[in-house]
Amino acid sequence: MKVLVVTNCATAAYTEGLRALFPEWDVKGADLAATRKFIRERNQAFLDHMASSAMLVASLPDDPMFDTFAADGTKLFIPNFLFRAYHPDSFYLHTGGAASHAMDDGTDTPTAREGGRRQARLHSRITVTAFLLGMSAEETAAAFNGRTYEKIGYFSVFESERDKLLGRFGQAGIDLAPELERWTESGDFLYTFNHPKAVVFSDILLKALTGRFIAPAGIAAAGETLAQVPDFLAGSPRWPVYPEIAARLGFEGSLLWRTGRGAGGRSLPLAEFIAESFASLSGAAGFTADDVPGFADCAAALRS
Amino acid sequence: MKNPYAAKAPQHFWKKAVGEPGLADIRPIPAKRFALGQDDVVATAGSCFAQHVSAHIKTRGQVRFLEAEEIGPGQPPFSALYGNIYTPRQLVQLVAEAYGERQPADIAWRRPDGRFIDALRPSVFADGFPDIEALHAARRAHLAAVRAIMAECTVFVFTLGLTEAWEAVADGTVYPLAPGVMAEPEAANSCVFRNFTYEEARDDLDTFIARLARVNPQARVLLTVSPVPLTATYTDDHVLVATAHSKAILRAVCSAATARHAHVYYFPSYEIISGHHAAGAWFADNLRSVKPEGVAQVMSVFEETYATAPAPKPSTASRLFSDDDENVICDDAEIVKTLGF
Repeated sequence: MKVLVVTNCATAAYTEGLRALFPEWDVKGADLAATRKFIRERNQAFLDHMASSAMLVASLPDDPMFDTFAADGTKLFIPNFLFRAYHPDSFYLHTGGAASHAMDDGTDTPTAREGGRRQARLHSRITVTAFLLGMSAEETAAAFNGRTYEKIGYFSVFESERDKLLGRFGQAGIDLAPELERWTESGDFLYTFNHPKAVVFSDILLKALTGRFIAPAGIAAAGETLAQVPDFLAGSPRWPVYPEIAARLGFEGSLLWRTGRGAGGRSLPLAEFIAESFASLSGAAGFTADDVPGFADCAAALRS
Repeated sequence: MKNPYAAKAPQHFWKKAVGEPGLADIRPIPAKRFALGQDDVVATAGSCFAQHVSAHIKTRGQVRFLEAEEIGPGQPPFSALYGNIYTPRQLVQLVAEAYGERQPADIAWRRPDGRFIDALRPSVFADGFPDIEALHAARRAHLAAVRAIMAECTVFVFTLGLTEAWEAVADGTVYPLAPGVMAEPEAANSCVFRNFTYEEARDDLDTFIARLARVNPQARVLLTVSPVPLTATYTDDHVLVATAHSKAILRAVCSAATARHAHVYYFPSYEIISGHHAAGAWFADNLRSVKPEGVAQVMSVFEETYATAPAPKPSTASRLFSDDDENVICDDAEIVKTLGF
């Protein structure tokens, strides 16, 4: 059976997971950006595989880019993973012109909004707000404490993030409630809020396939197989779970960032992180307080 | 520990909320509700009681009632010409058909006068169709209207009516009426009786909710249960018992859906009309049809619920986080982009 996997940064995990579970299948994958490029450039190998695939695994299964997928084929809808409760301070800052980045090496989670020229990079809300308020690096570092997090509301987002995650996957018929409970009990299961560790993608794929291609009796064996799939995001940047937030979640946090493998996998303590963030923000163009979700709350917390 | 009920409001106590007030003052406003605003586009579907809801919303004025097909005199006043949709399975199949995901095999049934009815909406066209081609042409237009409703509504109101249904042996197509009531399918024994279980009804409703969310992520779903008892049951139970069985399942399914999905709501028209507090006062002499006064009472509570619901206070998360986060496309050089191409 031919299978096409098209999703976001989970593409490799789902593709290799399916290959491991069903070695007889012909499984190929492309992330969303690559898929759009293939379609735009009429890549024949890609178009042939899509047209002859019996199953499409996708986060946007109804997108027009899949119009040539077989009408009688199976669409397995797996939404994008997003869980911001552990990293409520991080957000995508959309800026114009040259890329700016909190870790300012241009290789850490550079992201671009679809169809737009603006760059979207992960930043710290506290740091960007402090920069816009003209605070010094030292004043900014001092603001990283439980009192600030409390005032901004970082301690009260877990429930809504859990509901959103479960709701998003529930719409695809994937009940992640028991899995989320297990992940949260295991401690820090995320690199960033949209880059989970490999176990998350394995569990999601297993849940999505159970009842269709995996019988209940085969779940344990399939789980063991999926546990062997590499962690494709292990080399991507890591955002720390701040100590006061981690303490409420039952594990030990830190204020130590790590750049992606392509940028040397450097560890950045808070002072260095802020210094590099300020340097990159100074060089960025075209962003204002309006580009910072929650700016007013954060600014009020920093001024108090 | 202090009495935990001491902190509860009067509507949580039977004596204050039901025992003491007059019938019209018993007003079970749901805790989970939203404000129907001028920007809302409301679509309706469901059983016969849903026609009352439709008619009210249509004349309400403060919202736009979505009418994707022209509804003629005497035709059920829903948002499209689907007629009564009694079961979640019927709704799921209609939507799947609208998106080309299923093709019901046997829908053109011949009436005694030789004309044809669309068996999936038998009471919509009083004159029927002169031939099968005309029937299918009308159905194609209807399916386009169903897609438009799915895409355009901001609120989809669905009234669940029955668990009992008749379905085609060949492909499981569920009909709103039993064969032979208005017309007969050509083949004898082509339909079998189904009484959907709780799990089936729940899963069907979930399937519809998921399908709507994929097409239209912003749309809310408002569920109600018809208080109108079964006119007949094909089970071996007394019709009173069969009615209780059916309504209990549908009511429980609504609670399951509202608990599971943040954007799904329940309005208690069933409780307002058929609760024993009313001692049957809202029913006509046949103890089945709902009196106009009963409909008015339901709509009065409906107005109080949705016209006065406080505008939702933005949650901390909604202030801090951008909806765009889900759409950001990673472009990390370290992440594998293609495999096999």
